[in-house]
Amino acid sequence: MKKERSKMRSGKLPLKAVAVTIMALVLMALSTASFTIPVDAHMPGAKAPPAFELSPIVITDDGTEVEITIEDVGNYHNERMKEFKRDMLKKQNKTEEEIDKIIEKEFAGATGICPCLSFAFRAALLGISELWGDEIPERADIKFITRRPTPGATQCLQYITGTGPGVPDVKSKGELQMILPDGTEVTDLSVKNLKKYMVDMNLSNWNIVIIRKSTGDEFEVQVKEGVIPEGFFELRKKVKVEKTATPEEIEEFRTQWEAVRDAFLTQPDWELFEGVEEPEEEESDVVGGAIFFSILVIGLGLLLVLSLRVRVKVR
Amino acid sequence: MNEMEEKFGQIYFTILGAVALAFGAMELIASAGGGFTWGILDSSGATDPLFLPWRAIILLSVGFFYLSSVKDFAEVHQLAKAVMASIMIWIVAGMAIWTRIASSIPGEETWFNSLEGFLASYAPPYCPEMFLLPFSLVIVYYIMKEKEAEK
Repeated sequence: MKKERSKMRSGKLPLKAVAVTIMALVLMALSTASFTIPVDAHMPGAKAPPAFELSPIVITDDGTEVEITIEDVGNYHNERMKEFKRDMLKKQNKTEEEIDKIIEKEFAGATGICPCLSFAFRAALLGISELWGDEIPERADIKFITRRPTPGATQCLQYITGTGPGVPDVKSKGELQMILPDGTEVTDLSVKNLKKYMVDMNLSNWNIVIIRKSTGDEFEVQVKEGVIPEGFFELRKKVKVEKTATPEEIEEFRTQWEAVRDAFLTQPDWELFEGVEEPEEEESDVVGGAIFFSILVIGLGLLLVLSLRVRVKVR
Repeated sequence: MNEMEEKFGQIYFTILGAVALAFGAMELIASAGGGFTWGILDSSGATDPLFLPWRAIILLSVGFFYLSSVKDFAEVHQLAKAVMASIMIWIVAGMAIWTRIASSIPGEETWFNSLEGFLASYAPPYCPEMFLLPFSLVIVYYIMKEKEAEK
């Protein structure tokens, strides 16, 4: 014992101890990596979104008016992703305590409001206003065809249509169909299954068709070129799928991820989606104003002249 | 005031009183229903929603004063009712005009408005009192006549 202590004090470690420590470190790193695979629902280290104002989606469900905010959808998405993560960790034989700790750490501060969810929410909001105008749609009358196989977008649409598991207060259900740009129909909308289709994605995946079932009217929402930064899809693949990204590339992807999310939360429809025209600003009625102003000036002038004449007469 | 002038005053202020009464009823409905704008007529109460019901009451009173003044119009007490009604219009319309003048000078983000913005702030729609204002000025003629008669 004395020998060992003296060795440690002198800073010389036996080769065996070094090897064991390295092995332990490598094993720990590997096990950590297995349970910190980033979940697509959120971006670890991403900044909170800026202040934004998005009106809720208002629908009726069996006669009851329901207001769906992006925060409601974000919370739902967050919970679903936690559930998915929990199942994944259970399969890795983690204890409940360990699972709770990992989830708490990984989802700390996550709002669930990611680019995909924000896109789907905005697309639904736009489509509903285009197809129903001032009317409030019945949940059962809404149908979405989505080309975006990500949990964020899918769970947002599942929440609106009431087709997802655990959506609160669902009395009637709308319809959600996933048909990818290559024509593949995905019927299993579980996160595990969606992961298979999230490998190669491009601008054509940022597309949702909204249908008013009672009339058959459709409205297609397609994200404009330029909304998604250049190189976003390649970076995403490297960071999320291949996991070969360098720390700089991960940081670059995080910045782009935030920019896309913030764009969907703050920019107007005509800047985000194809075929939406910027509303013309009402031209101010300068002529009408000028006429009134002239009458006012002439009237006041006459009043002044009249009162002066009266004063002169009085004197 | 001769008979012809009295007759003209009676007809004129009957019509003006009826119009004021109609505007008052319209403003009352507007204040109950949250206000509305119809063409160049503004009963939205956008600038001051709390004043909209008061405007309705004032207009109804104006209508009643004018209508009650037409019988024996040349009599000074009756004429005073019409003068009172006109003054009520002048106060409310004067306030509306003053609001426009005050808001037309400063710009949205600058100290002073542009010429276009300045002129546009005088554009329609206008509140009913502003439409009644020029017609209510006719009472000045009768005041002058009364003054002449006194002399």
